[in-house]
Amino acid sequence: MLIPKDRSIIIGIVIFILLIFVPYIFSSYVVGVFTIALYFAVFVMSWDLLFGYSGEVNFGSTFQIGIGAYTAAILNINTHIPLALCIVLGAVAAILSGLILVAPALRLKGPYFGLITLVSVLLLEQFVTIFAQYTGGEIGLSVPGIISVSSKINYYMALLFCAFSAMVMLVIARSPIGLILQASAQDPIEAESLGFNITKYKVLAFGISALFSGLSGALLVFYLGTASVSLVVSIAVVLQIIISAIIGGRRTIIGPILGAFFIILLREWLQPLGQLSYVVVSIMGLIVLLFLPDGIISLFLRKN
Amino acid sequence: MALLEVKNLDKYFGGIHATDNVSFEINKNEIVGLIGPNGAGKSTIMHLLIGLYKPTGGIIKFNGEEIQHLSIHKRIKKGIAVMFQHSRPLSRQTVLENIELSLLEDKFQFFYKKGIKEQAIQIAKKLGLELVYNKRPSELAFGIIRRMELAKALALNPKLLLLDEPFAGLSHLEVEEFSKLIRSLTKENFSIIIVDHNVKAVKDLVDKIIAIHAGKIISTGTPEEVISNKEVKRVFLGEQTKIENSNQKQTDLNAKILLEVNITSLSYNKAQALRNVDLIVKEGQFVSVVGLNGAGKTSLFKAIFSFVNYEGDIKWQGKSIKHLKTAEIVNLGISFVPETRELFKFMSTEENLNLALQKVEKNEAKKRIEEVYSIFPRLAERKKQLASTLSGGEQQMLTIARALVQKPKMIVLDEPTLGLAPIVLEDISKVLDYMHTQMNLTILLGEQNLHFALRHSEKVYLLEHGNLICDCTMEEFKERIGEKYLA
Amino acid sequence: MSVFKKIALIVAVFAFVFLPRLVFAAEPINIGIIAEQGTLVGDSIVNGAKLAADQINAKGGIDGRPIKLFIYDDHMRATDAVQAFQRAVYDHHVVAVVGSWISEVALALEPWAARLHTIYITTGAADPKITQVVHNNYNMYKYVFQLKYNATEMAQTVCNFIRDDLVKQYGYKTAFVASENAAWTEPLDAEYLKCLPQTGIKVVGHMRFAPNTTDFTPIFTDIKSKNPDLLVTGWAHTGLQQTVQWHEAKYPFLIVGINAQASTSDFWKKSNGATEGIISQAEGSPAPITPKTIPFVKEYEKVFGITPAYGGYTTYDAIYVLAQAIKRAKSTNTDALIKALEATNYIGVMGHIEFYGKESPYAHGIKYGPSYATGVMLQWQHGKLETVWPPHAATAKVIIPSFVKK
Repeated sequence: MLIPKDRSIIIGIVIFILLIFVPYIFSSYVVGVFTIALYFAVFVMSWDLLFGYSGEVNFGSTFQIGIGAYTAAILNINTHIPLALCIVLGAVAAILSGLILVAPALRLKGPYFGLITLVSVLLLEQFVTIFAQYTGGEIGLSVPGIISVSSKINYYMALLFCAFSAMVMLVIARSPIGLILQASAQDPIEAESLGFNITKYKVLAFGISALFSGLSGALLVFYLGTASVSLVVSIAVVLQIIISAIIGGRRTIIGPILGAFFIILLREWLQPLGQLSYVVVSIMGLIVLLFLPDGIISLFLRKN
Repeated sequence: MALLEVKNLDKYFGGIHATDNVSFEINKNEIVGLIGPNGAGKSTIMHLLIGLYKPTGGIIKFNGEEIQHLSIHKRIKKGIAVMFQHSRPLSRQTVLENIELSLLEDKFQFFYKKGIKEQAIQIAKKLGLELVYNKRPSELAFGIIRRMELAKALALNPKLLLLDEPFAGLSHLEVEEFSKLIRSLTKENFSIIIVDHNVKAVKDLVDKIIAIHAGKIISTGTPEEVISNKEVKRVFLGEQTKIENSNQKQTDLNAKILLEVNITSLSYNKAQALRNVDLIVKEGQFVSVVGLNGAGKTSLFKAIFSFVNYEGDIKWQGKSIKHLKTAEIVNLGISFVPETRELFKFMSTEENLNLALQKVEKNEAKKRIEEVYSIFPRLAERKKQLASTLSGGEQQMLTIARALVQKPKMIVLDEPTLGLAPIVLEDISKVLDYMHTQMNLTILLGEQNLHFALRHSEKVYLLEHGNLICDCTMEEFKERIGEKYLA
Repeated sequence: MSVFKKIALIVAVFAFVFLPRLVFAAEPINIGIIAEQGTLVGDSIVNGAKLAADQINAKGGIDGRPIKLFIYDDHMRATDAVQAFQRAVYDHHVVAVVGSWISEVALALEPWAARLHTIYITTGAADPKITQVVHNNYNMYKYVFQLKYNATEMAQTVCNFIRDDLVKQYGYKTAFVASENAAWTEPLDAEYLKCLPQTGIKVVGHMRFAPNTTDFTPIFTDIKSKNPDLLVTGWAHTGLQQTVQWHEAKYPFLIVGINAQASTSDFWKKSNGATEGIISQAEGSPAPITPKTIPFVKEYEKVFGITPAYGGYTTYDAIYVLAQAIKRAKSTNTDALIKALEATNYIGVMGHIEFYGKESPYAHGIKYGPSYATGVMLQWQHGKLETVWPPHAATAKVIIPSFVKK
């Protein structure tokens, strides 16, 4: 049992080392695509932490991502506080809004959590459209601040952030907290009958998921220089996150990184197909699932 | 001072009084059996003790401290541990890791404490799990998983251990081993409550038995005292005197065979629910399948209606129905009255009946509903009432009525008396008589209330641990099994 | 410095100076076009660029180098536009990016033009903020040009027309201002509210509606209750729905202002003729605005089957302006090109084009006024797009629809 766990960490390290060389191999534009994939990977890992370990399906992870992104963007436009602080405040807003709106549903049994997250993201979408003068509405918002103009610096920023997030989430997933979360996902009553206040752990998992989602959302905004619904809020983004997690391999933290890269790079590659590319990506995803029900990562874990 | 004091505990679920003024005490190091037939309310009491339900009234004191308002995990921290009958352990972790889980503190910890593994190994050893340390639950037999569950409960180092139906689903051999294991625990320094429906299984283990029926304590004392208690006998075996009162009708021995069951095996994952069950129901006959909870009655009925897969065959009027779908089987003229009733709670009585008559022409449907109203005048009075607001007995009648409107050739009833008051039993009893003698319906009844079953049946099958023990007429059954069965 | 390094340096300098000429002599000049494909104006932008590039290439390109267009669809989203801009710069090494009619998109691209030191000419976005940014921080944002009248100027055109024509000829006295809620209509409405009273028109009401509005009945009913002679508009994202609904319910006020999609023949078809009688400002029209205008429209119609929306005129001119600047600069070096663009003095299809200098609040916007170009006012009359203003380009006189009060 310990071996596959270690193996997934080895896979993570190999991926990290390979990714270091990306700017030396590919054009700046492709490096840009990889940068987006890295931020997206953090979205997927955060989702995986919540679903894979605590069993809660978050249909609204873009609620946290969007709140983080838009809070940071709006602060950057309307105030003079430094960029880094904007990003941190964005993440804080993502956690707080999540805890206030969504976390109470973690105490309930049944489908309430999933439903509330779904509603929350639809609400946010409406909110962005209605308050278009602050949020840029459907077209989007451009922010004055950016992380860097250099695609290389942007890329390594994203890589470090992604690696750091993966590390923190792996530590949590493999800690006693991760074990208790899995137990509560498996059988909440039994987990509580072993003396664990399971709501506490779910809220923690949710908070960590929201923290990294929000951070990544804010960073993405300051990488691209824009925030828009289709980038960080839309339900289509949630679906991509969920598909990536499943394709990559749930409950592995590292698998979602593979899934995120698979989806983002495939989508980019298929861009000439236009709208059809979504269909092709979905079909490819299905094919992957058909042959690798445990995700791409199972290819590397198979021997066990 | 007693370790656990329960005083005037009450619990209502809607209109159902599931726990009715229950008071008892458990002393230190005492082993107590909480016994009652299925639906008697013992599970409710257990759930009230661990905090899954909050009582409607009454007090639970543990170590002198009131705990009835605390949530589950807080009670566990006070020293109560529980082993559930149905648990879902961590499936991707090993036995050892499952035990380690129990040893964790309820604190945000990012790393495992040193020595936790050694501790887990120690506990696993004590329960004879040496050979399966690194196996996952999916690779293990049912009995071993239950040992692991016990290990998890013991890892909490409890003062009071609750065992919920510890023998359910185990084979004879496993029951013996597990009993031994529990007996070995009696040397430890804690109290145990064993919740079970079977007096026989626990009487040698416990110091004291608390017998429950219909949410009330009917007897408390040493095993011998409780078993010889009249009330207990009545509940478990039924009142012998009344048996003769029933209108007996003897079906012609040459009558046509309607249903023929030959199941060689039926199992859920690892637990085998039925073995070599052969059963025949003739036209117009009233047949009972009796046995305690978990004996396999419901599994047998599920098999008849194709809800589950099985090995062997089931024939209806000579033709195999094994590969038919449930709906097709019902259309052959077999109606099912399930134990769980499955009524549409938020529909009225009449709507529930109408729903069963979707395919029937309107006037005909009306006629049939009037017909069942004449059998169940009480339902006619309550035809506009929502099913959820009916009493347990009325719900049961509605379930039977719903089966009757479909004009079946045979009706299969699973535990129709479950959780019903004796007075209601009389009503149901009359209805069954009427159906059998006046309507000439063939009836297959699954029942753990022997008294109730014996009163009507021409033929009785006794199921125990998935085996048919007796396949006999009423007289034979009374002679051979009746008296022995309880004691 | 070692000998080796010295040689290396000389080779490098040599390569730097001569290689481009040697190797890239016939290399194409890459230009990126970012547009909202599938919208009337966005398609016009793409078509205008294609037409200009084809014509230039047919005549031998720019000093022998052909123009190569890279066309990107931004799906009306800032994020997609930014990604397209990055792709244009990083992957396709464009000399300049041209396009987008959405001010929010142009504003989002502006910092990227600055960051990536790449020229960006918007040929459709009207927000004066775009050029204000250049004025306020010239060194950083000098890469951005607005080859289109800004919203303030567009409002002035509408006011001038109302003053010269509607007030003088028909004695109209009242107006209601109703614009879609978008960045570009904020300065537009502000200017309307300022300049309409100066023409002698009383503004009886002002409202802004959401761009996703589909039912205009309540809005029109409300406007009707104020009984204005004119409905002065700012429509670009919207247009079709309210045009049809106005026509069908025969509201008795004349619609005049900006209905950006209405300047193409496609709009006549889509509205099934409901646009008859609506008067709209535009950058160009099939009228003798300059000697080049009518040949351009004819050619455009021949190639694409419809007449261009305003983005067609502006983008067509933009490609020529860019080509001439490259010729004059004799280089595609960005700074040299900016200098050359700033020195533009070109008669295009929309008029005489020169850019304001950095001291102007509209730095890098095009000069507006009688000696340059003022834009035109158009009206659909009997299925034909007529130019009704300014007088020198007019092809017809205003016709007031029968159901509108005179």
